[in-house]
Amino acid sequence: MRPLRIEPFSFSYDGHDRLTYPPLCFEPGLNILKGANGSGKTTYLKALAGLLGERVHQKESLYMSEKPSFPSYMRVKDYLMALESASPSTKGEANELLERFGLHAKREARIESLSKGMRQKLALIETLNEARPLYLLDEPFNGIDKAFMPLALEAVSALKGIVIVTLHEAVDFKGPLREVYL
Amino acid sequence: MKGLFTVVAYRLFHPKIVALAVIYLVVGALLAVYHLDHGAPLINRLSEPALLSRLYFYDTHFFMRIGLLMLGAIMTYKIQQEDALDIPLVMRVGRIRLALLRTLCPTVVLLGVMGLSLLINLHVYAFAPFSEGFVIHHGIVLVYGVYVVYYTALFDLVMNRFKTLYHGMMVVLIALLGDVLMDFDTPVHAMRVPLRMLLTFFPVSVASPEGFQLSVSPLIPGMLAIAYMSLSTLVFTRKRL
Repeated sequence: MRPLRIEPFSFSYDGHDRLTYPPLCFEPGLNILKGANGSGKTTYLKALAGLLGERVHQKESLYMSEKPSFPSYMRVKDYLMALESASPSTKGEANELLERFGLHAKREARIESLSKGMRQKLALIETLNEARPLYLLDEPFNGIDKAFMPLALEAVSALKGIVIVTLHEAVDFKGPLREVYL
Repeated sequence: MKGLFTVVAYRLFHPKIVALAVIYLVVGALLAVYHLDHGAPLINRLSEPALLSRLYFYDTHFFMRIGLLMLGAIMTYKIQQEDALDIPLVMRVGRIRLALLRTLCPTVVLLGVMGLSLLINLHVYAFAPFSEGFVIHHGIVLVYGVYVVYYTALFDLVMNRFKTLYHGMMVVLIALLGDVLMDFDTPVHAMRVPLRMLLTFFPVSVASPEGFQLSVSPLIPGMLAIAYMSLSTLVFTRKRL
């Protein structure tokens, strides 16, 4: 797999300062996108995901929001089933991932009954269940307890393709990763 | 596509939406009974066709419009609250199919409400199928159904897209167009039948023995509102993500 090179571009929301991004290169594997507060990391990922227009949209990418929201009234298994059947690139591993992430007992539960950490795990599960060449994960470990972090990090780093992650806090990860600065 | 239909089913059979449908059913039945108790005798006492149709219009349609306005508003609000699925679905099925999903939801609601209204009418009025009265009331049910979509679309615009002057203007224009065309005295109603048929895509002017004329011109704003809702979903989903 070839590295992903993004040409410089700029973006501005209505009434906000224009964000200007330098040319960046992301290698296959785990890439940590770093930058000061307000440097536009979330906007950068959204732009690559095509949520802000087509200019730098990377087709086949998958974006995970920093504040994942769910249809709270749906059951966990139905939600994952709906996404699986809607997606042409699903791995079909929702059950295994639920087991691995300790959520199997919650399969029948409505999402509204899940804790914040469980919802974050659910967001990770729906992301990990997709086979994409590019993953854009915005603060994917928010709200996840420290004891679970190694497993979550390992699962994310094991994704095949280019994985771009923004992090709020430093993580203790022994595997290979690359830091990219905005 | 199975996943999309799962989501649609979940959206439509959300307990609160089902509760609203039940409320609609009860209110619709009460209105129908009220009409039988009060409206019909009143109509029978009057002989002048224009006044007759006007009274009929305000007697039943007014309450139904208000009821459907509220129902459409609440229903749309509940459906739109579930936009949590926007990003996951856009990432998986794309914006166009998501827009279709958004349009499909109120359309299915429309069909459901039409079916319920039809059942109420059939039960309460006990019309024989394909009789003149049945055709008239079937037409009214259709108009009510279009009202649902129309107001659903309208409130979709008001609640979610009333963020810019442009959208505000569109809402006002659609509302004005709808209400003008729904009025019995507008030029549309004075047009010759073939032209009205062309405009409404429906055989209008079904005359009852009492001289009541059914107009289905609300189809126009209904269709316009649906078209605008679809387009705006396509264009503006991006901004809401």
